[in-house]
Amino acid sequence: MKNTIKDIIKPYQGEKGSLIPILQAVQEKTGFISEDAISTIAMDMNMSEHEIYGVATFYTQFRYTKPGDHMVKVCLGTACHVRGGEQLLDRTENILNIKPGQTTLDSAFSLERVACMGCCALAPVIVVDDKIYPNVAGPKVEKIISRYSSSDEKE
Amino acid sequence: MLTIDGKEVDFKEGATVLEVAAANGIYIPTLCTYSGLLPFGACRLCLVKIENMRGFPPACTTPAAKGMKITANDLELNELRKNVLELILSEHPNSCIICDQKDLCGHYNICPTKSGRVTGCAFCPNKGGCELKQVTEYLGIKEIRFPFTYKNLPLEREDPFFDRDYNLCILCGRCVRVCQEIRGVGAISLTKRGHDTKVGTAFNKSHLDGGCRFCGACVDACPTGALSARGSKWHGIPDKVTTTTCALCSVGCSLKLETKWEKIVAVRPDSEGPANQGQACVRGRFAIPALVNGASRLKYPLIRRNSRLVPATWDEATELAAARLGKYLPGETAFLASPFLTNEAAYLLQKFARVCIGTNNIDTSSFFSGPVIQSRIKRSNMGDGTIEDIAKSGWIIVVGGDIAASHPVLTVKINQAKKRGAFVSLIGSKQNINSRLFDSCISVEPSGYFPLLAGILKIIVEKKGFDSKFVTSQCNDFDEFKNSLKEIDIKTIAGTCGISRDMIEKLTSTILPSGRGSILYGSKILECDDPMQIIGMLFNILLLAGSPAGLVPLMDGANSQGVADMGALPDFLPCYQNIADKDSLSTFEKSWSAMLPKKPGLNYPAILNAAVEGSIKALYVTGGEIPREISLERLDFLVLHDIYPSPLFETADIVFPAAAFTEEDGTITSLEQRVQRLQAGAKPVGMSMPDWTIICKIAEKMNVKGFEFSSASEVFDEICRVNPLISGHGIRDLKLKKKFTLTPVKKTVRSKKGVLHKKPLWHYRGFDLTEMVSDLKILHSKIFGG
Ligand code: SF4
Ligand code: SF4
Ligand code: SF4
Ligand code: SF4
Ligand code: FES
Ligand code: FES
Repeated sequence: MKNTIKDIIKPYQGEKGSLIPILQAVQEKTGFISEDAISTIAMDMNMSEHEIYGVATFYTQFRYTKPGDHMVKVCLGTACHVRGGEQLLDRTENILNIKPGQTTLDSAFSLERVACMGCCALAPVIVVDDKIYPNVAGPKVEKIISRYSSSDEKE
Repeated sequence: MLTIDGKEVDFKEGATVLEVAAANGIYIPTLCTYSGLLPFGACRLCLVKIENMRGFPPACTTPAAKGMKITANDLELNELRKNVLELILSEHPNSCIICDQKDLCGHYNICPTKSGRVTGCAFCPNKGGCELKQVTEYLGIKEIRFPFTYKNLPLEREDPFFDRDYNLCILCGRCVRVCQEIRGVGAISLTKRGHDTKVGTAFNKSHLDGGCRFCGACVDACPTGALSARGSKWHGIPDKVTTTTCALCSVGCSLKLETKWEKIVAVRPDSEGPANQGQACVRGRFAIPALVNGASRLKYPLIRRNSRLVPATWDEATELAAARLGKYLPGETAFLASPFLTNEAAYLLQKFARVCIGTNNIDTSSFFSGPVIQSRIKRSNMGDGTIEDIAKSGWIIVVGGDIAASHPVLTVKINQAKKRGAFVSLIGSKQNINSRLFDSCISVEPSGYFPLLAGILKIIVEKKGFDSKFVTSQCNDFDEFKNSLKEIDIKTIAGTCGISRDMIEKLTSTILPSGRGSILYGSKILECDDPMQIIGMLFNILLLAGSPAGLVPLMDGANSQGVADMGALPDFLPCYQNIADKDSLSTFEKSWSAMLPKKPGLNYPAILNAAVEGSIKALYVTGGEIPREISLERLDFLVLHDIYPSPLFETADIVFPAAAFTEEDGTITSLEQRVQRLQAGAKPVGMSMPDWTIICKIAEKMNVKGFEFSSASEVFDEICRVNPLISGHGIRDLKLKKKFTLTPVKKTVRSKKGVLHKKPLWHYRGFDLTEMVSDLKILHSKIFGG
């Protein structure tokens, strides 16, 4: 792991103010920012891991857990919010037993909250991988998730 | 010239509006400003009005400029600031702050304070000195017009030494910045953004795992009760605060002891301390109360009766000591001065040895002191570098010492030098903590120090990049030194210590062009064949760089320096007056009205050997620094001063309970030869007494004159009288010497293998601090494993 992180950050070496591009590159290549990555970057830039983490978490674009096989996004944009987005998120959290930003232990699912997917008419919506599920009220979400967990079916 | 509230004032280029105001006695409320830190502009409390500038610029981040017309205080600003503070308070438990009964509350609430959650000032560990409360009172806030939100963050109490309740945090960033800017550690940072912003660590690690050193700087910087020292958080306002000097290492930090109910309950660094300027380390900041208040502190003298140590009165014990010490020949008696004794105690101990017993068998019980002091005497250069010199160095090398663990506050100075562009190298085994302190690490065992340093010297001379003006005008024996380098072959160096020519060149290239530098060396050099030679070589490097005052020994005892200055040495009287010198000897004979022994005595290793072999029959030990492997079976009589029971209890015939350094007045001398005061913050526990008093009592029982002192300062007066050089600023003045001498580089092989005593890294007298303070043990095992 360290090696690949080292490889990724190599082109930026010695460049001032390159922390964000480095983090972006790491996330792009490995899918997330690991503890390992942060300590390697810290060593390289002669900063502490906490400083790097502080900078990284200031931006919402970075994730810190390995993404699961399926990405579940629950919309909490205004329209979805008023039509039960919070409950939908609660339910989803309960089913997967994780919080947004986390990945299930079996690496099957990651959960994220997003703001408006641009299809407010269908609110509340949930997106699994790239598929949008409209009007997900009540227990509907259980069915949707189970579709992905029972087999490797990807639509 | 600019005007501030109608007043015309001068200002220094580069000052901020806030600084100009403060310099002219104009108060502007602030919360995120903290002495020594760069302006941050986070709290928005210091907003001012400046003519021709839009809006309300913060005074703390706005540079003062010529002709500025500033309004620092008026009604509008006050309203604005109130608004800002109300916003801050809307996320801070505020019921107490605005409660109109709060003054009464201060009087009548009887300690309802041990609940975990802070829901108001009455429950807050910070109530003694809360800046947030002060500012609220200054601005006269009576109500908060915004809805209150409680962040409901978990209390963080898993780490040693201090608790964190970020529900009280106002996000001023002072803790983060202190850790980063001043300590150079960066163990915490502001994480996330917006409403979720919180002081934290990467991936929510514990502080212990995240590399925190528990120096407490963040706790001291915090204007609220968010960070609080666990051991002392419920003691409230102390009854008494006493400024003293930390005697847990040789940096000599100035500390404020907080006393409550006649006990030391908390310790804070003194912002005016010349060595530490408001900084401390985990030992000084957190370990002292536990160290000095332990239940098993010795409280009365003990004497051996029927092979058991039993309690005795001072009269009995001192009489017995006097009687028995009088029975041995001077040559059969020896004294060990702990490097933690005060100057007064060390002075009286050597005077006692010489005047009452007639022996020069006295030395500091430290293996490191010997070579350091001898090397200085040999160089006739008694003064080495100061702590402030470190901060001003253009380059720094640390040799053979784990400085971030052993002398933590020096890393603050190294960090300052780094900010000014100094290149910092390490020669030695990899440090356990804070590798970020070093720009380069040359990892080499002590056996490799000689070839490596020889290589460095050779390359410096070869490259002719050294300060030749300084060398020709100020140094002797350059040619001899240069010739001695002929033997050195750079190629074989790589073979002996694994360091290539390249690496050596890289290192020298950081030294030569950078002017004044510092070399700090630690006790690892004792593992070299000839430690004195190593010190000489380090000094050579400094001379070649034209930087003779840059050598700093990382003394292992808090007062190693002073104990030697006071003449607790086998061949030197106080202030390095040679015993072999007739004039010196007779001067002291006159001032002490006594005949003094002329034959130099045994040094520390020799005393230990003689005790093992049986030629030393009576041993007087102050502080138990005797290596475990030394067997004292053949000893006839052992006197001990100690603060806790120690392994030496098995052999001791008399044990005198000594006062801890927080319980006595006196002076100690730091590694930069600064003589500083100890002041008692509490009475000695039980019947214990300061070491110097114990010595005087025994002398009195022996009917010897010259030990009639009623205070430590009377002893100090005598010290100054017998040698005026010791007054005021220590023996620095002795430095005014002729020329410096470059030591020829000569490989020596250790003739006989001496005992090597590995002292615990954190110790006081003979005691391992990690055994006395459980949280220190946790930290120690985190850093060093085990
Ligand atoms: S931090 Fe200050 S204002 Fe806040 S609860 Fe504690 S004492 Fe009161
Ligand atoms: S205790 Fe010292 S090292 Fe730890 S976070 Fe606070 S300032 Fe940093
Ligand atoms: S913990 Fe204290 S010092 Fe740190 S940001 Fe919060 S209030 Fe400021
Ligand atoms: S650095 Fe040394 S003198 Fe300063 S507080 Fe720590 S132990 Fe005491
Ligand atoms: S708010 Fe959910 S899709 Fe727009
Ligand atoms: S003191 Fe100026 S913004 Fe905090």
